[in-house]
Amino acid sequence: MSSIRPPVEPVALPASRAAAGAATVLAVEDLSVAFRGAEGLAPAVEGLSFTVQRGECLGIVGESGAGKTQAFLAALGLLASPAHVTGRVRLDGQELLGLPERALDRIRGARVGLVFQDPMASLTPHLRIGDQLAEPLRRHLGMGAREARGRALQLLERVRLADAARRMRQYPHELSGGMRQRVMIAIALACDPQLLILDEPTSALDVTLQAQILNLLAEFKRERGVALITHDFGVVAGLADQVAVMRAGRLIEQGSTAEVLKAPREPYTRQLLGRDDSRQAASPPGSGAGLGALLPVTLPASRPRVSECSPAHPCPTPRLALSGVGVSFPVARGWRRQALRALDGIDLTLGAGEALGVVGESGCGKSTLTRAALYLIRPAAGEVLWMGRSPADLPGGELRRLRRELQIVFQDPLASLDPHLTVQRLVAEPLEIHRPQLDASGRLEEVCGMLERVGLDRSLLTRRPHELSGGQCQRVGIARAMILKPRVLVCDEPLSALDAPTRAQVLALLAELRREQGTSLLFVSHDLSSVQRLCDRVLVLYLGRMAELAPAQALFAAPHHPYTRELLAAIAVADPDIQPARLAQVRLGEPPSPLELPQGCAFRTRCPQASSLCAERAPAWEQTAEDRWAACHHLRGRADDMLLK
Amino acid sequence: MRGSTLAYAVSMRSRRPGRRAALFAAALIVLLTLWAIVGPAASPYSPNGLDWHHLSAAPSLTDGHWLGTDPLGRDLYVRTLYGLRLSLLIGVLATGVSVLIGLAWGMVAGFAGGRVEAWMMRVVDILYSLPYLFIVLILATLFGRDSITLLLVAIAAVGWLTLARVVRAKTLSLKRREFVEAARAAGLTPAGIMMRHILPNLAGTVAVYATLMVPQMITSESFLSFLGLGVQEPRASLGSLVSEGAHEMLAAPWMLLVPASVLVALLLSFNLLGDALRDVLDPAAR
Repeated sequence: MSSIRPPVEPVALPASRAAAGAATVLAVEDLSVAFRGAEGLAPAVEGLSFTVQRGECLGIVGESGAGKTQAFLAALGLLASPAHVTGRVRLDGQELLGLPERALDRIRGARVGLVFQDPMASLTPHLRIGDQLAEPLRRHLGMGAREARGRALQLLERVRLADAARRMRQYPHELSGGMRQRVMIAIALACDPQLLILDEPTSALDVTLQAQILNLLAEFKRERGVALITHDFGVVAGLADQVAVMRAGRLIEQGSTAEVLKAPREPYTRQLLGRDDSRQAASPPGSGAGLGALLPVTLPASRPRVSECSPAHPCPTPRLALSGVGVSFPVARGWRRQALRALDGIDLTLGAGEALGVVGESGCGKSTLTRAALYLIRPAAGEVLWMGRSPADLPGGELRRLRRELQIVFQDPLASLDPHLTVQRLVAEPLEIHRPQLDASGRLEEVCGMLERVGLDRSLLTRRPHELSGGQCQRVGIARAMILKPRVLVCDEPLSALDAPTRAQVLALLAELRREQGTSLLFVSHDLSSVQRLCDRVLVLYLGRMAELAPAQALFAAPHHPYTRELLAAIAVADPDIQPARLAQVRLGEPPSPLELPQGCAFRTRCPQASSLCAERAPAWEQTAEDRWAACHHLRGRADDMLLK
Repeated sequence: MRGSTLAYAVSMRSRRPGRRAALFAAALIVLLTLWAIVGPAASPYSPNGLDWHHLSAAPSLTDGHWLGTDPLGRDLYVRTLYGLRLSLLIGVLATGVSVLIGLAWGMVAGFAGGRVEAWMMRVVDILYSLPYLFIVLILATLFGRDSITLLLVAIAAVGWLTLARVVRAKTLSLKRREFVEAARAAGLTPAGIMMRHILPNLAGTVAVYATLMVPQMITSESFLSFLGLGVQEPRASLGSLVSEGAHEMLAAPWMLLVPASVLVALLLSFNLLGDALRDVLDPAAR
């Protein structure tokens, strides 16, 4: 490969760092990892070299499967299968490769701290938090039980886990995802390691929690070396000083974060950054809200707005309308049964050809909303209307026939496809149900046409889902949903299981299908940037309640509801100039349990503007500007908007 | 690097020693079945013909009684093969009936959910808690002991219960998978979802259980026959032959050893095959 540059020599480092007397914590030289497979040795990492300095964070970026994690597992002797590892890995001058298992045991956890992606999987379910934290202290530092407990409590307070003394006695499942990740960080820091390895530390978390965890990690960077493995340049921008980009087991680009993010040399890096040469964002970074400038925006074609209709010109019947929809699930808490109100008082309309985005943290009822809209869950309150007809009043056969007009694309592309069916049968199934008069050859023709539309090759017809990549599976899911040319397409987090480049492709495909067929989109996502690119209007949900509804551009430019503001502030932007400052401003704490909602406004426990009025009664859903609604007692944005007019 | 790790795991699996044993077991089952069908023709004797010159004769190549005779002078080679026929037939038939009932019952209960499921599974619980042998004894006294149909009914009546539970559990987990939700959203009828999406995904699990059920059924039949409740003279099953042989165990050990070793070989083969199928079709169950 001609594109590979020689790894940056320590001599070539910026002078400022050399002057600070930076000490090398980890030096990896020419590391290669290969697995012995059926066809001989399969290389996973080839000739990898990099260094991590004290007080500095090295971000290692690449798509999944690039060998990022494998390299570190190999360096620490953690690869389970008999892999073939060569090269040199020195921790503070000590060679790690070839060390006996016992010596490595003394290093891992003591001199090297590890934080993994999934905090639930890396905590032992049956051990209390305090005991898990005390374990490395007693083992590596030889502390007694009492001393270890005291130190554990200090550590939990240091990672700012709220109510630390009580958390010590709790089990992992009693904590939220963000709290668990704080515990993992506390464990990793327990023995004051020289090197902290973070493997996708925030990928499983919401944007608000991600910002908090990154904020915390930035504090611990000073006294030690940090290696941050991630696929997200936004995370890198806020935390890393140096960046190394990996592709297919090789290092393809390396340099300071500012260099690589602002002026990437490799086309692949540009692609990862979402800055294809074809659609380079022209506006200078740091301008405006900082967001709109960085994200290439596909402007939707103009169409009649719902707000434009008057008594004289009545609105066309919306394709999908929800009024006062509420959904609750029974939850067992110990012996008692309690209703969890997943959705409460949802009003929305989806016009012809419109794209409505629904955003919010996980657990806010986004997925439940899609199921209720499609009448896959029967709402406990309110009414759902499809093209003006209520599915609740339709007989079973009629209901099933009408379902062809509303299709869904799911979050997990593999799970939403029946594993034993071929691509051909999967895509043809809706035709078999709704157009039984079509013969086999006609059906095949339709299927091939649709596959072509979503950019899949005809040769995939006989494949089964597990033989496809994630992106291909999601295309099959979209083909299946679109083959009947439905009037409404509901997308439930269709991008979250996909890699960054695949994400951009699927997003483009959705926009294209919408433009061509005039399909209305209900697009649910926690990824605000993709919502901004695709949608006309955005609904912000907070714990099953509507917080704000506004045209997308207006919402991202000037959010009215304080929750929307905090949500937007938490987005990680791939710009090293502004991202650290953005991180430092994150305020949102943990969301309350949906079973113990605060009285009055649900958001008041996390709201910077909360007053006594917020505790007294819930705010009304009111119009704040043309086409904009919000539920808040302190709508500061409303005044701003008036001024703009 | 999931790809290479996976490839590695797959290559390891193909090297597992169990695979060879499974192929061997499958071959042995086919061989035993074929032998049970054509084997008796090789011998000059009939299963019920009495040879007064050779009572309780030891195995010998000269007189044609290759595996000896029983106290009535009946040829043990032929009788064992006839026994094998009957045991296999009962085992496979009873399994077939059990699978049909258990699959339908479990799938409908799991898919319907709610009150229907609760009632259907209570029926299974009640049948489970009835004393099985006691019921067989009553049925045998009511309908007479010499009935293969009765034997089949008695064995299958218990066999489907476990399968119904397994199928229901698997259906419950399949029902919550997104592809079933996708099928509902696509407008497929409940019956259509069951036939098209639930049933094919149950097939692997059911195939494994069915293979493991055949030896269970044969054991049940042999046990009932051993107790004198199953196959009656002059018909023979492996169980009744073992029972007869046990009476002459000290004087004429071949009368026990011959049918018993065939029975053990058969049961072992089915169990090995079932375990291997489970590895291939239902990796999560290991």
